[in-house]
Amino acid sequence: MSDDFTTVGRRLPRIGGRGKVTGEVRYVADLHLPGMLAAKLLRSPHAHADVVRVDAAAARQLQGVRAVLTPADVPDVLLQDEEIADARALAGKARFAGDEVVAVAADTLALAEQALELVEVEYAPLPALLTVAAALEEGAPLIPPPEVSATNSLVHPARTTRRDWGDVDRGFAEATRVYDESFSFGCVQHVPLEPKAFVARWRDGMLDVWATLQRPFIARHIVADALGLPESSVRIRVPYLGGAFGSKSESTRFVTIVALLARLAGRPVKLVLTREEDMLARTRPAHDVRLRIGVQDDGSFAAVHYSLAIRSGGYNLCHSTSAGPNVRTLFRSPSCRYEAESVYTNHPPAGQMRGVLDTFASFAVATTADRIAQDLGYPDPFAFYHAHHVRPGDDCGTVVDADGVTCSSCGLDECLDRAREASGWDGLWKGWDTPVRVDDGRRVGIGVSGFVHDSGLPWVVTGAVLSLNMDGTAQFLTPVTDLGNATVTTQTQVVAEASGITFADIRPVFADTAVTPVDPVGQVGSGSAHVRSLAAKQAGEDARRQILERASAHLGVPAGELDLADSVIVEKARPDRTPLTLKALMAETGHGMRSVVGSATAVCPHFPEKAFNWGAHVALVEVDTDTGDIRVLRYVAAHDVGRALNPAVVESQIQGGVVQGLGVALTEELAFADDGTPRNLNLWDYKILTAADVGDVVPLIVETGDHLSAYGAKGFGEAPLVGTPGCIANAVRNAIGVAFTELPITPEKVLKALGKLPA
Amino acid sequence: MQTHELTLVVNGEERCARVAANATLLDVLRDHLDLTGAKNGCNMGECGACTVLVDGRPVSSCLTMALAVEGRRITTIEGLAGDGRLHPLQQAFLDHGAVECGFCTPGMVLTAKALLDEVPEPSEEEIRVYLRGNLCRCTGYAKVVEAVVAVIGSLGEGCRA
Repeated sequence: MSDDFTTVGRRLPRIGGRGKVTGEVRYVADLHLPGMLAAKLLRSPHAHADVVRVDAAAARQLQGVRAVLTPADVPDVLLQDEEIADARALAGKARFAGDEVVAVAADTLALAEQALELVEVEYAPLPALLTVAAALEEGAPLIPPPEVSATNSLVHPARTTRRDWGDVDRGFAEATRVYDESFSFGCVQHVPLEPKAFVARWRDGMLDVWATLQRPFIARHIVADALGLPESSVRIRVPYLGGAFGSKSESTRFVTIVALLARLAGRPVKLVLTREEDMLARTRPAHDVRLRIGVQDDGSFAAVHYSLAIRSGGYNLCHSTSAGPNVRTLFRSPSCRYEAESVYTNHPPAGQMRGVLDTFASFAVATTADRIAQDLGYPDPFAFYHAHHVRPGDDCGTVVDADGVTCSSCGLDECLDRAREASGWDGLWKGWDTPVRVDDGRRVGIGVSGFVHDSGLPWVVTGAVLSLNMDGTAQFLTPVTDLGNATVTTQTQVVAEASGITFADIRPVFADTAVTPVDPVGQVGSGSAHVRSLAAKQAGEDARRQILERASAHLGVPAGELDLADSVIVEKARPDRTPLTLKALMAETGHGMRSVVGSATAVCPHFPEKAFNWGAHVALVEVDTDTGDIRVLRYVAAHDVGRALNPAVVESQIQGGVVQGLGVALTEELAFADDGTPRNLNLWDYKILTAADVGDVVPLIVETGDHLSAYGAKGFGEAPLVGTPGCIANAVRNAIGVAFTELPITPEKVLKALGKLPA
Repeated sequence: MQTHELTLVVNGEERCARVAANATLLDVLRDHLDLTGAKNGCNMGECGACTVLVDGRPVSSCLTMALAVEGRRITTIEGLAGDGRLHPLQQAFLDHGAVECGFCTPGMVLTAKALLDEVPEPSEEEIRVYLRGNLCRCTGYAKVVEAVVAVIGSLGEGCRA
């Protein structure tokens, strides 16, 4: 790619970084307002129960307790939106073990905890429905309120989905081989280091909120509606977030609770979730998958049928549409059926998590493709991917896309080639079912995954504003939150590049619903580098045009003959002429001239072409056949990101996403007792990987320069996780000849598969 | 709850607070002294985000009773930079992209400092093992290890605690 950029593509230090290494940056939990109270929630011990009676009289009388809310106190607050939720601010009926029933605000956290001990709640337990079959059984108690749904099946059109492309039945009839595989995936949790936190304050009828949210605008919409306020009277600010990964997508219940407590108490209220509470608040749902692939003798697909049944938990937050890209966008197939059923169960609410359900679609497809390639005599998996993957121009839209959507760019071939070379594949691969080496009980295997994921979703819309100050510096108003992935930094790089204003002279103002343009959907679906960059670029270009007009009037030179880069204006035809700095232009032209305000809105380009990001991973693993331990010896991850807006950020996204993916592959699963009680809501028993558990992940950046986006950049932040579990499973299969169909692949499962433990 | 007068030497300054008998060092730092650099990520000593140095040794401040460290020398992330100049580890974390969301960063930097004070030239393996009590969900640890490696040998006596 050409490198004639001043700001885009450079390894600029992240905005806010200095405050993070000195401890100066304040996260939501670090905020303190005068008179602020501490909030605490009482949670149901039952996974499924009617709340019959709540007696909070004693708690209300405790000195220092300023507000108590029970389900009876919030009868009208129904948090509902066609995209999101069906929850009252407090549960009149417990739908998972840990459901929020009573909220208190007191002078101190210790007092709030003491007050909750004085609350008496009488429950009438109902059978806990923990499987899809149990939830759908005739006569099963209804989990949602009857006015929301008449059955435990999520019949919302966006959630229970069946879609056909081409003639699937004919495809299977014509196939020479049909693979019919079943997979099972456990419930996992995002584990951002920062648990969710919320602060609310009322002033002059306005609600001020500071919250850990990655979608502040949709939260404002829902909370304002629930409280009967216009959106203009609710201001939500999102300071730096301590990681999110999807867990901070939907938290409207907590925002509403702190707002109601603060209104009742007449004082600011802060609620900080404990790790245990945070792990309960949102999970990625357990689900079962059946994948059928019909293939021709040459390995080309004739038909794909992907069906999944999702245990969505007690609240309706999970998108069953989100297993999309790896089902239909990875390999060419003339026919495809996508079928999903999402069902209310008495688990904690499931929702979005980095890669959504596509991580598991990738696992299912990549492990099945590995076997197809072997069965049909391909020399290695690379040859199979190269032969059969989707190309630009192919009809390959996912379940969320319109018919006939094609892919705008594809760097999979280059990702495969680079990963192959950097991993030393050719010196290691000994063939199918042949380990790289066997050393006593230790078997080393190598494997590949190729995959694709979203770069923005069709319904993402956004805006950006660049406002020039009197000294030539500027404010950049962007709705994005800073999740930790440096989105604010990369967006500022884009607006700097497009405007010609020096990066360091632009101060981003981000994620404040009272200030920035509206961004209704928020940060989901890896959309920022793609869609939000489009808005930032156009706002920058708009400001640049206005600056050059001003310079033109001042210098008496046509605007078209002027250029602006790095805050310096030059005459293109006369580069020798003394350049005019932006600061000097502003000083010399005075304050009476029209202000420079660049603005733009953008929509995710989604028809007839759409951008997808691509990747290929190679893993070298060692399986200890005595202990069942799997050790990753080498991991190479190549990603087609269109263009790296900031290569350091891209590398870190790859390395971090892969390590998260290794956790999903090897160690992470939320476990539940038979009554639905979670068993490992802590970081001792839910194991995320440490520095000592992993080695270096080699990140490789592939730049295809997608023509739909700003500077060619595609969103890809979820993809590093998406491709990892399938890659590990293929490497393990090469080592020990076992194709795992369940995640995580624990030592226990390995030993069972090897016959060393009873199955 | 009974309260007690507590005196600590925090970042070289004597600080006093009246604290509950069951207050942790983390509570005192965050709620009484407004030093919020130490984070509460799990409150059970597993994530490392609350790490501070007590007499130069890294501890989980969420598991340390405040009254048990009466009079001891506490170093928090706020005390690491001097005269507006970042500590070499802080600078290296920035330069090597070892900071993402930043929530684990204060604990990670202080643990790395304790390591280098104890073992001036650790191997990469030693660094990884020493940092295993500090969880990070963003970086995958690669750039964190890189940053620590980059500082090896550059710490003069003046930078030691």
